[in-house]
Amino acid sequence: MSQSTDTPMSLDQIMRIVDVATTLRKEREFVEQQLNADETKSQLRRRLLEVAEVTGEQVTSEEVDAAIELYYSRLHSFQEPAGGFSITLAKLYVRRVAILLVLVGFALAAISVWGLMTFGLLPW
Amino acid sequence: MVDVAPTGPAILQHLQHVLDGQRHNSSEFARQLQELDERVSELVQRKGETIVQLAQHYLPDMSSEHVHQVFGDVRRELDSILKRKHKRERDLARKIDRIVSRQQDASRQLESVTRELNEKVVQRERLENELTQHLQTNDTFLQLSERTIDAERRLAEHESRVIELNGEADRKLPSYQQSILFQYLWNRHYGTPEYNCGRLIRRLDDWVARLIDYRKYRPSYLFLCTTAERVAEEVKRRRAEFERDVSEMEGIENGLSAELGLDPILQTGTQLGEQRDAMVEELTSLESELEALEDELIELESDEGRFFDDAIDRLRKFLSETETSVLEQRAEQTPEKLDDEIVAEIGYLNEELDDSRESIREMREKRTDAEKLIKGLGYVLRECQNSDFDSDRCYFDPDFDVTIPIDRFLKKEIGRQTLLLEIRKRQHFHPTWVDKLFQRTASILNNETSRAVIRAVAELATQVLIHTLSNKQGRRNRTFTRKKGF
Repeated sequence: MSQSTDTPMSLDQIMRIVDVATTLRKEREFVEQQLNADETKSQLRRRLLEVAEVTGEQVTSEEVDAAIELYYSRLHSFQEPAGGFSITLAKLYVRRVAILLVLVGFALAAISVWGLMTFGLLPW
Repeated sequence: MVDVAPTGPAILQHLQHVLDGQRHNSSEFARQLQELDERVSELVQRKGETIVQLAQHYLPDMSSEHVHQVFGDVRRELDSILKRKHKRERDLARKIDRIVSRQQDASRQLESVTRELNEKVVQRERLENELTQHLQTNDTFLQLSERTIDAERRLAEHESRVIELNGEADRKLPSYQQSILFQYLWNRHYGTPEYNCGRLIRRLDDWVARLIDYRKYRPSYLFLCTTAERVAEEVKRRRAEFERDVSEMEGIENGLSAELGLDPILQTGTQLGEQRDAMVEELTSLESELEALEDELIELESDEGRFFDDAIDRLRKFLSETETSVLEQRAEQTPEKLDDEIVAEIGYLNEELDDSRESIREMREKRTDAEKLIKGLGYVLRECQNSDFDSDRCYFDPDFDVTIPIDRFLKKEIGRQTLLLEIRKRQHFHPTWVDKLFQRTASILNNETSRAVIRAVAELATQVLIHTLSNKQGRRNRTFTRKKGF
């Protein structure tokens, strides 16, 4: 505390404080925006109706509402692409370590059996 | 002439008066029934003796001692049954008297407690009115109340938004969590500064990311994982701020309330309210006890009582042994005068018995009707007491004449529920101090915003009062603000 009054802050310190302040402000704005989601929706509705009026589209307010609801229900929804060769290959790739471990295991087992047979340690 | 609106206490008093009248009628019928019973007993005894005389005259094979003995046994048994019946009736009557007397005492106490309570309510309303006026002039309280009213409304909206966000996350997150491609990239921190690996792997990871459009969905996943929690944190902080404001308002209100001396009034009022509730409960329980005893008394007097059954059995047995008709036929055949006189006496006694029995039947019907009316009126009276008819704020339409529905009930044109409904639909309450305050303020202030603020302050003050009452060691509780009556 006393340091701040006695010695001037470095540029780096000032920048850090500004960064923190900006992050906090953005955080507050984000939260505020989320809390006022209804306001955002009604703005969106207004804008859509204005656009429809300008472009001469015959859109009712119920249709606009339905469109907005659909948009929000799909927002942030994720669906992995349906299986295809690329996707199968990608899945094999992301599991490469596990697949490699299994293959190594099999190889080691095969080598062990072969060795035991070669040195006559197995009965056949 | 200006009609004066009947008050709740006046209606209660009238109902009580009618109920007392019916109780008096019922006990008068009971007294008359007892007299008739005694008359029948006497007639039966006389008839028995006359039959014995006749039997002695005509049945020479039957010794006089034998006839006396047989009839004596029957009479003793009948007497004993009758005595038991009378004893039980006396017991029940004594119990009923005791309960009626307790009821009267409890009603008197209830009246006195209600009177005291009404006085306290008037004092409380006056002080609360003063308190509200003080609060209206307190700038800090006004600012806080305006802020808290707005904050509470917004908090409710925000809390529902948090629920909405949690629901969205629950719906949408599983598809991210079930995708092994997405989870692979997420766990490797792909697309963040923490992501670090060789060129080949990076290229292959880029290829996987393109396949599932990872760069587009990563922010969405992050949003779904963190937003609800972040928003909930903020709502929690705002709720704490709101609670602080409310506490501050409570502090101001408590200080003023203590200055005005409202607390002791509320405390006494609470105690009186509790006392009143206990008395109403006691009255209800006494009423049910009384009903049970009166039912038993009616059963004793009816043809279905156990004493009646015992007496009938014994008489049947006796009559099967002594056929009076045989004796009467024989009297007609003989020239002697004595037996004709005895038979005439029996005929007279039979007529008297028939008349008395008819009177008893009529009296029983009257008694049963009176008891039904007592039950119905008792029920209506109890319901009225529970509906705060004894409150000073309770009044009825000026043209309402309670005697009309009561007369219809007494004439059995309407039932007890209809009577209660007829009375209740004409019942009103004078406005509370909050309503009065609002009406007065609304007439002075034309400005819509000012009116809204004043009303909000008044409502908030009420809420704060009730809230504080319920929280503070019985200083105030809802018993005192009894239903709509207070």
